[in-house]
Amino acid sequence: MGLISADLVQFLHAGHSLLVGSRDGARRSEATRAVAIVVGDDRTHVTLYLPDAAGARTLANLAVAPVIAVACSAAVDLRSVQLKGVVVAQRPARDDERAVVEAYRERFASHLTVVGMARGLTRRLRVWPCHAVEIEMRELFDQSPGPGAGGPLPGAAS
Amino acid sequence: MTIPLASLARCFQGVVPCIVATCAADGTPNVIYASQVYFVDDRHVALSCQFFNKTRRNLDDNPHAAVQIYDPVTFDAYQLRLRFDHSETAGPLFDDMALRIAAIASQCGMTGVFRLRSADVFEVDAVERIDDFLEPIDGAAPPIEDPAARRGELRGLQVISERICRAVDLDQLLATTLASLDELFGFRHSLVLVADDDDRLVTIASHGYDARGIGAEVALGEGLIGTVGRERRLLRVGGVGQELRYGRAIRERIEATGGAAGLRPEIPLPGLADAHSQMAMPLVVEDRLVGVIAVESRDPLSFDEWHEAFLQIVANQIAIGIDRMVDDEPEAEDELETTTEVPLAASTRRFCFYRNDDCVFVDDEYLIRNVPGKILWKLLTAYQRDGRREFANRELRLDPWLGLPPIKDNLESRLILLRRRLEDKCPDVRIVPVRRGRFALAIDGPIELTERDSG
Repeated sequence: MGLISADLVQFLHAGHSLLVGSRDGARRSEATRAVAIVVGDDRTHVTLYLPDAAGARTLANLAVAPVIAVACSAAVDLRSVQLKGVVVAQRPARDDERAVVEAYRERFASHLTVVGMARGLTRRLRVWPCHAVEIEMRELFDQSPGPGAGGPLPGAAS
Repeated sequence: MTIPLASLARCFQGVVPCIVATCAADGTPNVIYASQVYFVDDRHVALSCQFFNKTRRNLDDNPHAAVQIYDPVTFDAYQLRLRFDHSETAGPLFDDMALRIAAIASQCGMTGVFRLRSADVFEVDAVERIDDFLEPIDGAAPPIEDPAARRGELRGLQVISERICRAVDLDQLLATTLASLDELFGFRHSLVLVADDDDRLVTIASHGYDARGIGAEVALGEGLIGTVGRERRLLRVGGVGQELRYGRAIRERIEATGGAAGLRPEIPLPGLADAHSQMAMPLVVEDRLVGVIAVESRDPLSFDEWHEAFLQIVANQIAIGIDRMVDDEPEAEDELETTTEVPLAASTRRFCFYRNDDCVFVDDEYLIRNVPGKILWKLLTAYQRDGRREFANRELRLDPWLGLPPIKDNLESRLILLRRRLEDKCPDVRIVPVRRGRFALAIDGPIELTERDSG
């Protein structure tokens, strides 16, 4: 069994906000958004999709310092998790992955309409062209707001 | 820094949460959502520290951080490159940030449980617009502020000021002002609450709601409006829905971890159930809290700094107006009419006064309490016993049983509250202004009065 539980796989694929933290060689941080995530069959590796333009600095960071933090946060109840891992590869996303990315954006838009964000605005998020970043996840954290946020995720698979 | 921070004012209203990235001493990144970045000055911003455990530890080890913020109108994204400078646990910045958090915490029943620990201040090294964050659209011109609109608001302020000055009584003053805020500024939903003797705020006027909510109360310190009353400071919250979701998420977490004992029930928001922005201002004269005026909207960006400025002027005028009404009581007393007209046929209204808590029920339904309740009981008793219909404010002020304070007794606002509650709950019993300082009790049918001790 991999690191990520079946319940968490479902949560990660649901279309919630994806936040990404990286840093350069001088440990200067960069914040950006990812536009889709796919958990691998082993539930330890994931593929994260970063838009080429908006994610350019993050992609450059990952080339020199291949460590990454990815937070996934639900807009309605703010349930959030953070995954930390090591980048094992990055490459331009293939044409056959475009549908995956655009479907994720569509689910993301559906979530945001519940909290008042117009679907048309969310659909304007540029998701293509993008890069696929292959990550081996090492740690999971519960990031839901409140005391104890940032602690190890209870019930994570091991 | 090529983009002035001040030009990104909309991004700092807390409508769209921002992304905060930090890096630990060992080089491990961390990323979180934060509900708001606070603009401090042209070179500094602040983040609130409540539960930023890992983020805070990272900043102590490595001061460099990055924050991605969003314009809630255009959804353009910007990266702020920050260097942690210092934390503040007191002072104006801390107080401003703490007020907002205290209001949300109180609204969610978490006063003292969820609070600001520090205002973390960062120096801004760079501001960068994120290119190609959005797909281009045709004809999307950037919003341009129209200076003429500001001139219109100034004109509106002048009109409201005149109407306030000309109001002959408090009822007219409040009704005119709230209607004018709608007519001249587009503030569709507004209410005024006055401070009573029990550290509570009571709604005496509202505009733009299906139910008027007259008599609705909130304790000082409770919820957004109560917090404004207690702290006597203006509070503007954009993205109320986002803030409440954040507060409720924390509450759920506390409940799930066995900490529910310190929580109180969530306080229903007075007014719109789906408000996305609120602004509330204390009504203060000298050092006395007279009340609170609140405006709200379903648009998360309805209120900005400019609105704070001119609505504060309106609030000051209302406060002075309320105070003027209290002071302007005419001293001359004419002979009071004491005859009673024959009541129209109607079913008997059964009023009950509960002596222990000065509370009046009508037909077994709560009507009003405290001083307005005692005033009503005095009027009904005089009507039934002596057949009196007309009364003077002065005799109420001189009646020690009512317990009105010798100065600044808010009698006008108490009578408005009583009048409105009767209109809502018992329209066949009315308080009708006759002339300044004088009113009549109009009753359309038979009444029955009972006094009890509450069980």
